[in-house]
Amino acid sequence: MIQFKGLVKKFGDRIVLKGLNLSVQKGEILFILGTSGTGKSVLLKNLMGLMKPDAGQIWIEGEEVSSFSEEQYLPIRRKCGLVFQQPALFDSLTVFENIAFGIRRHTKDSEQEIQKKVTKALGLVHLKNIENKFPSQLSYGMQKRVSLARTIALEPKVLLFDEPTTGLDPVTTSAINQLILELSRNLKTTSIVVSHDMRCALDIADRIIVMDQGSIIEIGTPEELKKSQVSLVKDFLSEVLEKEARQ
Amino acid sequence: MFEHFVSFTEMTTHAIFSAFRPPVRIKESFQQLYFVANQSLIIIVFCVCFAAMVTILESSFHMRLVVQNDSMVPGFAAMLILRELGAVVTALLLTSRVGAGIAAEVGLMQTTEQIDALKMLGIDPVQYLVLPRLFACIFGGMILTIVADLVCIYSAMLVSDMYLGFSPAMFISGMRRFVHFKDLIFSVIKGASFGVVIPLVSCHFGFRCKSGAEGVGLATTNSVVTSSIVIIIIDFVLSYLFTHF
Ligand SMILES: Nc1ncnc2c1ncn2[C@@H]1O[C@H](COP(=O)(O)OP(=O)(O)O)[C@@H](O)[C@H]1O
Ligand SMILES: [Mg+2]
Repeated sequence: MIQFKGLVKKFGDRIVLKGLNLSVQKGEILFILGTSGTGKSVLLKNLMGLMKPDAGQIWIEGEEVSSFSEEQYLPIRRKCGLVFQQPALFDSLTVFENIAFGIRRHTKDSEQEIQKKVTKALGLVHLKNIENKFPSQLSYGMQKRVSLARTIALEPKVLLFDEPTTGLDPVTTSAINQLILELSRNLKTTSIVVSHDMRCALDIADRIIVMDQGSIIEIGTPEELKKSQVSLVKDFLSEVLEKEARQ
Repeated sequence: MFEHFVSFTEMTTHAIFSAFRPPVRIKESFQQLYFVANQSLIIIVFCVCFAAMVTILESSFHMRLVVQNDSMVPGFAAMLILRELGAVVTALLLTSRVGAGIAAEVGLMQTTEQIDALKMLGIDPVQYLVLPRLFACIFGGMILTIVADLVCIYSAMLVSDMYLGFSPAMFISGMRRFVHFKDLIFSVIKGASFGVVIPLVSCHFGFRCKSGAEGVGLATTNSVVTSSIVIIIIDFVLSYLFTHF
């Protein structure tokens, strides 16, 4: 459904993505793990046309989109939701208006329906009674969850999460991972999740890829990954497995 | 430099074309206009007041020195105020007050991924952010220039009454010998042109803002410096053109 072929992205002399190949199946949950600065966020932004690749192809549902214009990207972005690494909430709007923003833009819903959708989306990320607050009045973790709510309120077919749980407490983290799983199972969304959380990747991912310095160094199902011989993957795993051994 | 020019031109043409496409953000545009006027009115009035007083005192001093006679001063100073001072001082103050604010705001939106979030929600950031500010700065620039012109002339009149011995009636009759309605129009044209420059340049640097507090600072400084330079150049071109009328 989504395919990257030989994707290259440079910033000046620095090559961030070095000819990356990857295909994502419809309905699967794909986790992307890797150290900071290897280009995970850049990969997601290229997919959504927020950055343009220097070489290579990006296919989404049978269309090569890497040279698409902003207008051509509109229907693709309508189908997809990207939860940014930063909360990226509009600071001049209240929480309610932030979430209603996209709904107003894309549907002809009445105020009542919008109200309902906003409350529901906030409920999914375990928040309530904060509709009239401004983003600056919320904690970082709450902002991230509002940002998540803003994206899922539009019920996208493809969900891209950029470190959705980094910086959140363990309870909220597991709630959000559960949410990703539910969305994927109930609404048949395709999810790409950039994360540092190996534990959760092993639990809910269909496939996991590990990136290092702009290329994929390991790819496989959780079971396959556990047997990996690549040292970075082992590092990622060791922490989780040690914890399990202790329990 | 060249690359800046290309992307600036791209953004500007994009802004112009998207002005004729819905949605038009009328409410936001007027909010921005209120913001522009409200934020800078006091400063502009205060500064141009002093600029006008200096102008009239200096020109009287020079005239007495050179031609031993300052009877032409009211007309001379009023013309300088209308054709040059009112619009330029207003624009430079707007640049540092409003332009810097726009660059910082858009720059912060860029670095915190809000611009990307707009795109993901199917919003054209240029249309959404630039157009209301462009509207506000053009009309704000025109209105504030007229206000500045009036304040300038009024304060020049007061000073010449108090220190130079021209009664207001003498001042006005002296002024009317030189100054015509078209001078006010020129002033407003200048104000509108500078009002085009400020938001476009500021948004340009805002959109290209690099991440971090340093990036936002740099975007702000660059936008103020560039706007000021462009304003001075445009002022020269327009003044040159207006001498033919
Ligand atoms: N807009 C940009 N301009 C220049 N360099 C960038 C930009 N965005 C990202 N980079 C660089 O690309 C590399 C990968 O960034 P990123 O994808 O954010 O890493 P991560 O894998 O942690 O998400 C980093 O070294 C970063 O400095
Ligand atoms: Mg990242």
